[in-house]
Amino acid sequence: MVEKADLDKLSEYTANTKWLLENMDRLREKLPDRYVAVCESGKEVFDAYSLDELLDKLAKSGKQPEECAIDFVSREAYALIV
Amino acid sequence: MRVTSLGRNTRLTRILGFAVKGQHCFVTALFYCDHLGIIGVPVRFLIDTGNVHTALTEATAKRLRIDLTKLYSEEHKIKVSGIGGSAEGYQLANVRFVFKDEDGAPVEEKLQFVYILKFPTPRNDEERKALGLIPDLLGLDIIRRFSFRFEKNLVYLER
Repeated sequence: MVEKADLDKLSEYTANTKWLLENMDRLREKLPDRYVAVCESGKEVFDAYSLDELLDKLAKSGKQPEECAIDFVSREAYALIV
Repeated sequence: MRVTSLGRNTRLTRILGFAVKGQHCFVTALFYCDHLGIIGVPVRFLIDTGNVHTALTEATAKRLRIDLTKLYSEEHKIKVSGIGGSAEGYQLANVRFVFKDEDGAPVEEKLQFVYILKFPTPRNDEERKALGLIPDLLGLDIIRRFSFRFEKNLVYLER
């Protein structure tokens, strides 16, 4: 059984993720080589130089890291081959 | 609804993934690992038909608050290799994913295990950055349960 609240959480996370990917070039200019967390569809963006530091920041701000889209923003764009 | 060759009406399940121009295709899902108490944490996956098994990175494991020391035993250990080299990984057993179909209904998929990819210690700053970019991968163990098609910046997983 999946709670509606969980599906809502997934929708929120998906919106944050899309915002992060769509704004990656802008983030690259403003926050190069930092970990960023996007909350509320880009209304709030947290950043730090390490993942642990970022998770601490989120915890102190009362944000659930599970609901934020978190990514490393490299200064230069990489072509990812998987 | 669609009508099968047997004449029965079956509902088409369609999960919507997305792609940003010039980037890979992604899909999001809730991740469950009941025996570790992980209940419905959202994860973004790169849809990777070149990967047999679904895999989470060590960074995501951290975000999910998975106690990696419990997995780091010889029993769960695996070796993984890719274009960038090889790394160690560990199996996390009995997991579930819940995707959301385009009507908002949950679509649950179970797996016997996923890989948790353990990052090697970076030798320099450049390598540290590159490791930070490795995404979570949705592998063929889930993808082959669906057919998929692309449409502009969208990808549909259907069955």
